[in-house]
Amino acid sequence: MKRAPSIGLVLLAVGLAVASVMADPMGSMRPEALVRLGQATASVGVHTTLSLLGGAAVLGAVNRSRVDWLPALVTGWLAWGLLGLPLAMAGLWGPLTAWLPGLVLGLGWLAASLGGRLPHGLRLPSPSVPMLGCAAVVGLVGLIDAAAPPIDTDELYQHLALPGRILRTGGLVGGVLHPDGSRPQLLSLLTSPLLAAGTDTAPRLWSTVCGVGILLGLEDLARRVVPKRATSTAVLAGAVLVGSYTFLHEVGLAANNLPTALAVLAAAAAGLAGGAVPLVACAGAALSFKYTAAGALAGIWLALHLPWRMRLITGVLAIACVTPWWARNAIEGLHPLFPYTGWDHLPTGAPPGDLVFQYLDKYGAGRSPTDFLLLPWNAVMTADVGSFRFLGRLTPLVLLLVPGALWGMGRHPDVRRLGIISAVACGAWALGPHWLRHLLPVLPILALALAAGTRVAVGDRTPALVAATTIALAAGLPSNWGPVATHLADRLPAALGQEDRPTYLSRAVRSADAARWLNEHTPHNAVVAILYEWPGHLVDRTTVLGSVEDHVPTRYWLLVHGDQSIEALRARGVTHLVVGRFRFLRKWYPFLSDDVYEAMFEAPTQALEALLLKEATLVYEANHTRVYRVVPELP
Amino acid sequence: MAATPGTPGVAVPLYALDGTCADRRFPRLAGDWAIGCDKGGMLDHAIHLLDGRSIRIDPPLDPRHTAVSAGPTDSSAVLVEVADRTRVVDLRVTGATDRTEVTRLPAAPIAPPTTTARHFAALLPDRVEALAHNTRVRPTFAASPVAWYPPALAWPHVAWVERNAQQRETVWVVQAHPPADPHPILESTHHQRHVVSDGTTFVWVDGGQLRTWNPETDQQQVIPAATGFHAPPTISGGVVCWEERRDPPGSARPRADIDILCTDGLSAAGPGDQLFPSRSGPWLLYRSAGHTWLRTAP
Repeated sequence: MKRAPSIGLVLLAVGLAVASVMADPMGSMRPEALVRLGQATASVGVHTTLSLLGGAAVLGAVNRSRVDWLPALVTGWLAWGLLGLPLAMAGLWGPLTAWLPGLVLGLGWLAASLGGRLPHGLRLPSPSVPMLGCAAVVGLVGLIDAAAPPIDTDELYQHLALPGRILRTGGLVGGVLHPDGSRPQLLSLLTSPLLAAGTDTAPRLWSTVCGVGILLGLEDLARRVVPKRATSTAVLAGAVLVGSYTFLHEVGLAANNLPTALAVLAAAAAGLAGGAVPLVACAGAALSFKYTAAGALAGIWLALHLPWRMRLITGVLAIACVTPWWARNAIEGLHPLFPYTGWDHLPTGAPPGDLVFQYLDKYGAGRSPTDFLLLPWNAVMTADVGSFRFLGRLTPLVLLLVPGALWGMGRHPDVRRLGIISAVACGAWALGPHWLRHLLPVLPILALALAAGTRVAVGDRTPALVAATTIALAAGLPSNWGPVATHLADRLPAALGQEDRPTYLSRAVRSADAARWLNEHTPHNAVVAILYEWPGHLVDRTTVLGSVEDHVPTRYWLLVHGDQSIEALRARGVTHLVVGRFRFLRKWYPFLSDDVYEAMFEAPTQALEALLLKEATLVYEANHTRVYRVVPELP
Repeated sequence: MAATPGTPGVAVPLYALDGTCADRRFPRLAGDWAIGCDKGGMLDHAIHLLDGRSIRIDPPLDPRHTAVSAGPTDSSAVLVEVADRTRVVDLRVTGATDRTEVTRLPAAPIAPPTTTARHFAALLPDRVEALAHNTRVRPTFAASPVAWYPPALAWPHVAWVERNAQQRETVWVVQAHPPADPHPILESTHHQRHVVSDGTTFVWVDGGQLRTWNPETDQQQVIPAATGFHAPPTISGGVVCWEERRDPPGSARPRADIDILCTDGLSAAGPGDQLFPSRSGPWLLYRSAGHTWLRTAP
């Protein structure tokens, strides 16, 4: 009876919440939007709980000590993926079976608990109030973004399209017709059950959970590194993240950057704590999410608290977690690292000339020695969210904290370790394409290193630190929060259901109308090849090709098959084509000779246009996206 | 302009019409006018083919929602834009003028509309609308038209593309006045698509041929043609023109050259492909090698 008033209060609040939505004469939030969000939230809640408990069972069984939530969660993800891999390879991965690994993990925890194998339990996060404020900002941004229809290019062609294809076919896809599917697919195996049960909002809500998890994990790590100044350090590090467009924009996107960052953070925490098993699991998960974690993991491996023999073993075991994916590629006759490399050794043939997966010179502010010296300045101060100039934005707070952090690292060994991890990871990043989002796997650790070092250096002179931080953070808000706010303002009516999904997609995604036409007017067994376009997730049919960097799959197909390209697609069962009127701009590739540019970009595009006129039938066009029929008898 | 438009037997480039339109089925002819687009892809100017003068259409019209036709008087044309609102623009040598009294349709059409000098028709997701420019009476007909294909109008008959039970594209027709039930013009085992009209006769693609039908006389005709793969055919005064896939001389690849043929013997052939025919009286507008060309029947 003591709880009756509390229960009554909560029930009243729930009733009022439902009534306020249902009775609102302005229709501010449509019930169907609320249902969709509720469905996604429930799916993510169950998914995260099963992963957390399963991971705790694994780690508890091995270590027999109290298990931290962060490595437990990431270990649970890895276990889910490894348990799911044989099912997916056997073609048994469906909307229900995709939850089977989670069920096994949950039952494993139950068995371990009942059997007394988890005597020390699971340590959950205990965030401070200021950190909860940071998390609230991330949660709100992610909630709005996830509730609106997906429009991000990478989401549409890869991070939502792949789990959808896997669910539709029952198994993994890959090779030249599905190049993105030949990357390690831990993310797809984790998001496909979410997609099946929680609509395409759920994978993006899960990404938001990762963003919040990063902030909570930062504070946990700060407590270990600088226990006396943990809260202020964590908030400062959180301000670096939340104040940066590159971090905030990823929240609410179905992408692998934030899960990778969380796994790297978990690996760093495990490494600094000397936990070999969680380190292996978290490093393996990070690599299986995205290879860009490699730099940060190399830094962790160099800086961790383990004897060299043990380091060697952990390194080998972490890499072993990724080898199933490499082996899968090798079995299929692909380069283990396909699609990043190996385009000239495919079973379908080698393209004439030099088909490069990615031109590093295309991104950032140059790659001369001087450019590399100026890279920290340019990457923070001259980055542009809308161009190839780093494709993102960071808060100038990053640069403000560098001097103090360097001084603090000299005085504090754990902060120094964070600095080493950050330095190695930033060096590896500099060698790759200069996209700021590729810095995300190490960004939380870098933010913590900067914050912790500065806190050590500043000591009790906090008013000066607060003032300086506020000035730098505020100066960066227009360029960092401005684009995020504009983006969210455009999406809010769609998130609330005021603007219906087809209308919003039609104005936000240029190929959305073509995708809708295909869904409404083609038979369910139609096979659609996507050329110079991205809308894989929006097409409710079997699709092949689609975008990777610079439309490499489409260009490969055209370069290898020449004037037989459409016939070769037809021979593989393709019935329709979605073709974008995509124009490569010469100014994007100033580092290429005219001959190479002509041969690798212009020639295949022109050849396709000529072939379409000769061998295909145009049946729809909208917003520069065309649909062709290549099999006469099909509608 | 390289030459006076309309000189018989000479194809002249109309550089003023080279701008790419948001709907590639433009630029098009309407009576004595050729109508083209600005850099943003909107219809913003028209060239009078008899004297070469150019007039502005301000504000521009969206070609994805616009139909054009010869107007009710000599040297006039009419342009009808049906989107969230309806605009009817009269083109005369004195300029372009908007009509003030026009009827708004209850929803945005799923394809461009079609127009004649006095009537227009539009396809909504679940119906066909056909009415006179200057009336508010809107008889509507339940239908399931396929998006992107505009309807065709030979008043009082309206034709459009719909899917039959076998999911095959079929051309349907309805008599708008007095109202009658819609029905397929002709059952076929092929896809029927791209129905157009000159106000009197319907023409459409039916598999590997073109079919014509005059609803007043019920006269039908079959024109063998390898067309329907790209742009719709065009008809003016009973003369039909279309894109034709042909065997290029000296090439091993069959049907690798696209030319334009007309039933009156006018054609556009030569190096490269000739695309997007638009016929009006003696004139044939088409595109080739990145330019817009005008050819005149002898």
